[in-house]
Amino acid sequence: MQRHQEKTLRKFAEKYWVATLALVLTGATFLTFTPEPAYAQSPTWIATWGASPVTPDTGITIANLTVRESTH
Amino acid sequence: MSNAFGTAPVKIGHATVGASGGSGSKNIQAGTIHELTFNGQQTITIPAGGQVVSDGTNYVVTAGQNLSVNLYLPDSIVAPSINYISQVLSYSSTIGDHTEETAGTAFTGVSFSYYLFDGIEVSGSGATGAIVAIGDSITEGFGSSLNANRRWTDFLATRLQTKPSVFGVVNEGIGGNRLLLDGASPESAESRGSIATGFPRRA
Repeated sequence: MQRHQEKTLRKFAEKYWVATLALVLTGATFLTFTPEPAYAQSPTWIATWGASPVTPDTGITIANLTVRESTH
Repeated sequence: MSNAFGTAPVKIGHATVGASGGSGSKNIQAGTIHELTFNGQQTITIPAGGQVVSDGTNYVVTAGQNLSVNLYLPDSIVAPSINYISQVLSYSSTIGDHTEETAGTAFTGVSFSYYLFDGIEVSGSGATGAIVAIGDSITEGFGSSLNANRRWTDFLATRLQTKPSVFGVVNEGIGGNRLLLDGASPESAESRGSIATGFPRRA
């Protein structure tokens, strides 16, 4: 009986060890070979500047003129 | 260019971009003015509540450079959409199209707000990403020195330029911004403006 249990346990341990090893190898492979996100590799990454309108200016009317605005 | 809060279409008759003579300067550096077109056309009409993006232009700029954008608006625009905490002066001209003038003599009107101007995209910058600052007027720059680029996001951008991995900084602060209630700007400013609609396009 005891011999049978030891055999079963050893088999389980071997199975568990194999599964663990497989898991570790899978994880290592994933960590090693997962590519960087596409945005970090893009050669045409777009840097931006923005100051979006957030409200209407009800106090003025613009007509037939030019506005000149500076970025920062 | 944005007509986010407009109740009528806005026509842009002519648009240019160039190197500003300095932050908030009326002048543009000689030889730097580039035409902006919209689907190859000089003019475009922005529908009420809408925005437009110009065609690309082959204009090489450097990090942190101040650009000057000029919009000729031939028709009457009542209550134009603005960003009111620019911390940099904008100008309005005497009558007519002055988009190709480097001298600022025709620009006699002064404003503390941006009119219709939404953003600029720069490709091929070598940046590995961008940091987007979202917040209220503290982030947007209220209280910082006029025409001096002293918002905390400006300092952050300058510091990041010295690092091996270059990141752009996008200031998406909205003065009076609140999460649940209207502040100095409508609660819907985020969804109408930059964050919800513009940011995915930009980033």
